[in-house]
This record gives sequence, C-alpha cells and structure tokens, in this order.
Amino acid sequence: MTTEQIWSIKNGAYLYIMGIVVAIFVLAQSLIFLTRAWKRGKEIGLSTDKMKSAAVSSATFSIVPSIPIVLSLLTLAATLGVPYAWTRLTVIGSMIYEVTAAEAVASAGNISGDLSVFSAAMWVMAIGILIGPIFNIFFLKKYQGAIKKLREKNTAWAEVLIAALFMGMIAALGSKEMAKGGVALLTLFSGALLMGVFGLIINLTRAKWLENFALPLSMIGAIALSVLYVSLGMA
Amino acid sequence: MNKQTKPILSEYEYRTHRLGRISTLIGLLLILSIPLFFCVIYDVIPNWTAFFQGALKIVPMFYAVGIIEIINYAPMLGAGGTYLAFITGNLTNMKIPAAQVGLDRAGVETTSEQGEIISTISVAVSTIVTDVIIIIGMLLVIPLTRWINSVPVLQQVFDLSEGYVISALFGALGVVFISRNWKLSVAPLVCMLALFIFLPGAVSNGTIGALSIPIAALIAAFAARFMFNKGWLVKKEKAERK
Repeated sequence: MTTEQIWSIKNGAYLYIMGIVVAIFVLAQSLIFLTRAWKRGKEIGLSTDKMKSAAVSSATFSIVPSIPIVLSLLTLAATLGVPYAWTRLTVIGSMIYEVTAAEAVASAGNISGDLSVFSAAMWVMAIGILIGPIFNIFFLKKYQGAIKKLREKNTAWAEVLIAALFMGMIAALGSKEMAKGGVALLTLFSGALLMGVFGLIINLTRAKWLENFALPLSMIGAIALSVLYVSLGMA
Repeated sequence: MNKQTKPILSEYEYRTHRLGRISTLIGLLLILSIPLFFCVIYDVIPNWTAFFQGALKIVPMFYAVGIIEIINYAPMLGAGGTYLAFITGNLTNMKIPAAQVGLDRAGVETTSEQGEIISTISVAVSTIVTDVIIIIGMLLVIPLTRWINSVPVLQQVFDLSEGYVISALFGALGVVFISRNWKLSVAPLVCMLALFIFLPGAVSNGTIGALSIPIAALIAAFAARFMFNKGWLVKKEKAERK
C-alpha cells in the first residue's frame, strides 16, 4: 500500500463518520447533564441568575484555552490524519498525551507508511487513557460518598480542603510557568496584572457585566503581550 | 429519621451516578470501537510489536497518574462534573478552572448540592464550547494552519507545551483565587517554586510535571489542615460577625 493510499484511508469516510458519532455523543452527554442539573437547580431553589452566571462565565472562560487545542489538531493531523486527530481531542485525549502515545508507537515502526503501525497507535491511544472512565464506572460513587460524609462531619474543613487541592494545582502549574522565566514569566505576570486591574475597575465602577469577561480578556491581553515580548526577542 | 439510616447520597445524586456510569460505559465502548472497526473494515492486523512497545511506555505511567488525578480532581468537580470531564479531557487547562470559576461566580459552596449542580453546569457548558470550537477549527483547519505556520511568533505563542497560553491562564486565574485564599497558596507556591527553580530539569520532565500537581495538592492540604486547626482560616464573614 502506498503512502498516498494510507493517507486517504486516514482521511477517509469511516474515520470521519466515527468522529461525528463521537462528537454527537459528547455533545449529547453534556446537554443531558446540563438540562438535568438545571432542572434540579430550580427544584432546590438555585436562582436562574446564579446558574446563568455560572454558565456564561464557564463559556467565556473556555474560549481562550480552546485555541491551543484547535492548533494542536493541526500538529496531530499531520501524523494521524484530520478525523482521528479530531476524535482524539474531542474525547479524553490531550495534545501531550496523544503526541507521547504516537511517538511511543512510532519508535517501533513507520506510523505514516504502514497501516498496521497506525492501527497499533490507534489502539494504544484508546487504551492508554481509559483508567479515568474505568475508575468512574466502578469507584466514583463510593468515593463521592466518602467526600460527602466528610462534608457532613465537618463542612468548614471540607470546603477548605477542596480550596487547598485547587490551590495546589494552581501552585504547581503556575510555578512551572514562573520557573521557565523569560516570556512565560512575563506573560504570567501580565495576566495577573490585567486581572488585578479588571478587579479594581469592577470594584470601583460596580460594572457587574464585566465580571464574566475579565478572565478571558485578561488572558487575551496577556497572550497579545506575549506576542510583543517574543517579537522583542525577550524569549 | 435515625441518623445512621439516612442515605449519604440524595436521589438526584444516585441518578447522576447511574447516568454517569451508563454514559461513561457507552463512551468507553465508542472509543474502543473506532480502532476495532477500523481493523475490520480495512482488514488490518495491528503491528503487535509496535502496540506492546507503545503500550508499555504509556500505560504504567498514565494509569498511575490517572488514578492520582481522579482522587485529586473529583472533589473539585463533583459527581456530574467528574463523569463529564473524564470523558472529554483537558482537566487542568479547562474543566477544573471552568468549574471553579462557575462556583466562584455563583457564590455557592463546592461540597453542597448547589455546588454539585453549578459545577455540572460549568463543565457541561465548557465541554460544549470547546467541542464547537474544535469543529469550527477543523473546518478551518487548512487556511488556519497556513496562517499560523506563516507567522513564527504566533506558532511559538500558541504551542501547547512550549507556548504561553497556559502562562496567561494561570496568571489571571492565580490572582482571582489567591486573592480569595492567599493563606492556602503560600506553602504549595513556595515548595513548587523551590522545586522548579532548584531542579531546572523538572520543568521539562513529563513525569515530574504530572506528579507535581498531586504533590502540591498534598502539601496544600497538610498546610491547610495545620492552619485550620490553629484557627487561622476563619471565614471572613464569621470574623466580621465577631
């Protein structure tokens, strides 16, 4: 089989159809969870305003971090073809995982020119990341029960603990960016500074509408500044 | 009602788990069916050497990290959010911050039923937004590739592992959450900064990178417990009431 034939299979109808099926599944799953939660929220007296503001802030926040995912699609598509790269990024996959998996398989054979190696890569990518969903099917209910018990025993501590876990994540990923120095450090501080300025504006002017956009605007501003820093040769 | 017989999970949560389990199972079967039918349709037998070589490199590390991740992240996402997020991925750079931003905006407690609902809404909305953007991106993939690749600065800035989107994200996000809970941030920040500064190789090491999050979470949790016991984390409103 020639490389061209393999390339046309990788970009063929079957993988596109499966990609569409996966995308429909993911969107349907999200919509079902969303409508259920919304209904339940109303039942227990959560105001529509609160739910709306959570939805709007989550939506506006999610736009900017989606850009690198779209761009990683371009990188992955070069090896995997467009539809499977798309499918992988729609489900669990992350760019770093997919590239690591593809490289691990590629070191054993020609992923671009041999369909048997490509199918091996597909299997490794699918199997390598199943632990999260498998855990959820068997153990999440028990685990959530344990978390709830902790909350009933000591609500204040449960809240502090979860805030601390999130802080750990911010500290680990933020420190890594800071330690890189150069443009990464400058961009991080630019994002922080812009967010601080937005916070001040919101507090001073009571511009409530700005709250949903402060985070994405700070990120866009910091990314725009990073373009400037790179152009000025600060990397 | 006797306290001991009171069910831990509410009816809504039971149903969430049932729906979560069924939809996760469907998702898993779907993910596995793609390579399976690919092999059947195109009459391909996977190269087993490549498969085992790849699987051996990937599975032990990603499975170990995966279990730590779920234990660490599930409390922040709630039940519905966890089922959704672990099918769609992009946890640290998208789903967890989205859930926390949603909770913060709605002003509800993470562990309450209201928190469960708000985080489910946030993660679901975030998933829909990302998927729609990826679909748009795919349709625009070719012109976009040419444009980004023709501008080296943009290529550099938007690179996922070496670019600066994550720096911008955690700078802005850091200010929001550290200003709320600065005491909780001191211990993990100091330890992680020390790790990455004094062990420069750690920044580019995938294993240390993946493990640094649960380690920082553990440090943050221990420090939080210490401060909580000492009474240093009294909530603002309580302090004001006093």
